[in-house]
Amino acid sequence: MRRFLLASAFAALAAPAMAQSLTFAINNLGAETWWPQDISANKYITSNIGDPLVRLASPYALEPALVKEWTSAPDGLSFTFTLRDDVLFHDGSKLTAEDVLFSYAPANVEKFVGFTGIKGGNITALEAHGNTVVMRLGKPVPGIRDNYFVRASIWPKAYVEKVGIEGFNKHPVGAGPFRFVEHVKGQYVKLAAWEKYYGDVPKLKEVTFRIVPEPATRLAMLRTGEADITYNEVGASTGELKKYGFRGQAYGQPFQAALIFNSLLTLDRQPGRFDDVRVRKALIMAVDRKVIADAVYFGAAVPAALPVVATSMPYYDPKYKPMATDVAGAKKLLAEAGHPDGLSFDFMAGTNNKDLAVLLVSFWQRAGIKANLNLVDPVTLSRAWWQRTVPGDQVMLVGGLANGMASAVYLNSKSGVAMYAGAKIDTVYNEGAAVVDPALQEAWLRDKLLPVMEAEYPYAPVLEYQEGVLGFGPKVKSWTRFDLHSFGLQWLEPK
Amino acid sequence: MFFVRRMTRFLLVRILQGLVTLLAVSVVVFVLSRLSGDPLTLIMDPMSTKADLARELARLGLDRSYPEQYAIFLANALHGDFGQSIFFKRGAFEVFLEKLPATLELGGTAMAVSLLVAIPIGVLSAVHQGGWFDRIARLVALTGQSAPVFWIGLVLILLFSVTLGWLPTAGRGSWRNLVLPAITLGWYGNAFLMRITRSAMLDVLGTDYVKLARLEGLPERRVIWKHAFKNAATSIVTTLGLMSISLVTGAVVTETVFAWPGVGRLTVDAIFQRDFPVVQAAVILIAVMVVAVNLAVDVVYAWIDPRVRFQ
Repeated sequence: MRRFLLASAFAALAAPAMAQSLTFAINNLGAETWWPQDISANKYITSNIGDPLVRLASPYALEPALVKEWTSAPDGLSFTFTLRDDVLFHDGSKLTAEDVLFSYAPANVEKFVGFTGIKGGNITALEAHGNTVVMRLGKPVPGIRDNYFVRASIWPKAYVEKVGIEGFNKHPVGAGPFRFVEHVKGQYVKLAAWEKYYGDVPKLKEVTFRIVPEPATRLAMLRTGEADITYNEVGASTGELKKYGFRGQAYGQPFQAALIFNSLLTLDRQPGRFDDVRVRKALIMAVDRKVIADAVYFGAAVPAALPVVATSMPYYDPKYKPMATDVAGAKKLLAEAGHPDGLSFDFMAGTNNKDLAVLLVSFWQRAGIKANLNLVDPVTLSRAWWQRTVPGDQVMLVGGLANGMASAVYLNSKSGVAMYAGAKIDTVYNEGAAVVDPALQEAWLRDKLLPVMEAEYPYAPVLEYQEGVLGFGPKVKSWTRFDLHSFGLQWLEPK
Repeated sequence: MFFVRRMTRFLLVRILQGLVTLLAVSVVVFVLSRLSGDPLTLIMDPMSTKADLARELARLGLDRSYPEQYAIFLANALHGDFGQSIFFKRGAFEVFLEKLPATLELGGTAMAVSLLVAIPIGVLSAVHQGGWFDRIARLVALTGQSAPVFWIGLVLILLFSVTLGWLPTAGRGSWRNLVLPAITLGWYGNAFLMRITRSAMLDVLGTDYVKLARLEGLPERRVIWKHAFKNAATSIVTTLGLMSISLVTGAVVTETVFAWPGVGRLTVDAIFQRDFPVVQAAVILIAVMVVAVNLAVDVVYAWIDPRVRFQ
């Protein structure tokens, strides 16, 4: 027995202990407020403290989270959620239907997802029947699952009403896998695993998010072991990670750097040179995007094929290949479109995309395309795009989500975002809005949306990449799963 | 009595000059914030309707004439109201005050390091003019003034954190966290102060009264620190005043490199986020600090050198 105990003790000593806590060096945590209905609240924190009713199990499929089961009506006008009865909030209170009604209240919904184009006014009724919640909509809401159900976490009504928004911002309470421990403004936030979590209790005991704005400092922290995970902007710091032999993992949602065409003389769009789809395609054909991806993004980006849906999405149809570089072909397209002597236009890009913009301009020159580059700050660019305030023939270089259903909102011509979204795209978009069945949505994306994107090219996709690259130090074994809308620390496995 | 009257007049003139400076700064800040674009377009959601814009315009008083807007801005600023931070959704003044202690802690430490290191080295360098100590000190000073602050910061991190593992890389916490950012922040100022001290001491060491003091047989330490240094102190005090200002304004880079949560980083972030209430609050409050420090320097200057208050 003694020998056995000794052997066990030695074995325990010899076995490497699993890391109990990890430090994540991140560029910023937004305004460092945690009230989830505030758009500037930080998802890294809120999505681990709060759990939604359903979550993304893969980039497309949903799985239950706080619910035992959920169903949607075939017409997409009602959803029924049956709650789990073993969910405890971090203050010890039990999840009830009242909490769901509170979290989904129209006033909150309006603020929560206003930016995605889904308005709370679409929810005509929210009813609780025991442990079941029924949501009724006035009309089908496109992407409601991707944009709302998986994002809107459920919060304890009694706690929020007791402490108010300010109190909640000081100490948020949810039913997620991690509970809030400590926050020192501008410095760090500490989370600890919630021992009474209804799902699998996280393998980590504690995670500290440290705010480190300078990329080189974050990398130094990875090298010293002060940080175990670093957020790295796609670009130079990605190259640095590789240089020092750290493992990296693409992180976040797929983004697309795309060209937006603008032909405005007044606030209403006037006919312009970019009306011809051949001109829009020629601008991409003239550019060697692989060279740009390697030069600017250190290989962490790839040429994009079609607007709205990134090639990395599982429902992407690989038959749509990125357009090959063909300078002669670009010249030919321009000539056919009535520009045999080339083209010249104003080109507006954000200072954050300066390198990319400069390379585009130089590639265009080879095809006789002269772009007058105007670098502006990203906020000005975003407003010029959304508010359509810049007159004349303009091309803008912007970045946007490219995850299909959620970003399809950019195609709606009424939103004023896609200048060349016309009747054909509107028809397809409206068809998609009424589709709620996941399989049918997938079919709609693949069979309807992608072909119209190829034919219409409402804007020109340049490159696609993910939000950032995570660098892993030696204490991290793996991060097996990323939820596209959250930041699931429960799937982070230490060594 | 004559001294008190002179000193009071001197102070009143300086305070008046400071107020005029602050008024000018407020005008510049107000004009620049309007030139950088319509503040409303920064606050409002891009998808807002014209009616929404008009309503917000009236609510914020932005539909009034510029002189009226300036008067409102000034009156509010005098009450510490710089408006609501667009990003933090709290008062800009409150946000600034929250970050100020970190900057003062860093700046104060950097200043203390300067006093303890740069001044003695400058004095010794002058005393041993042309010797090996002087040569090394001048070389260090030259390097200090030529190297960019962010580069110094990163080199210190690579050396003391990554290679030697002696000190933490970033963040605020114990005294160990303070060492690298304080050295980085004070680096340029130290070099400058060292050179000014050396130069001022060289001027004084060649004067007749220092020679006389030596001829009288006074100990060398007393000659240097009591007779020479006291007379060289006027230019050193002026430099210290300038340095203390640059320790606040120059903290921008250091705070970013070392993830130090102070007003420098706040201001940079606010500029990128177009959070103009915070930018306005930061610029005006830093201007207030600059004016206050200058006033303090003038007072010390007048106390040290009676000629100043008689001018």
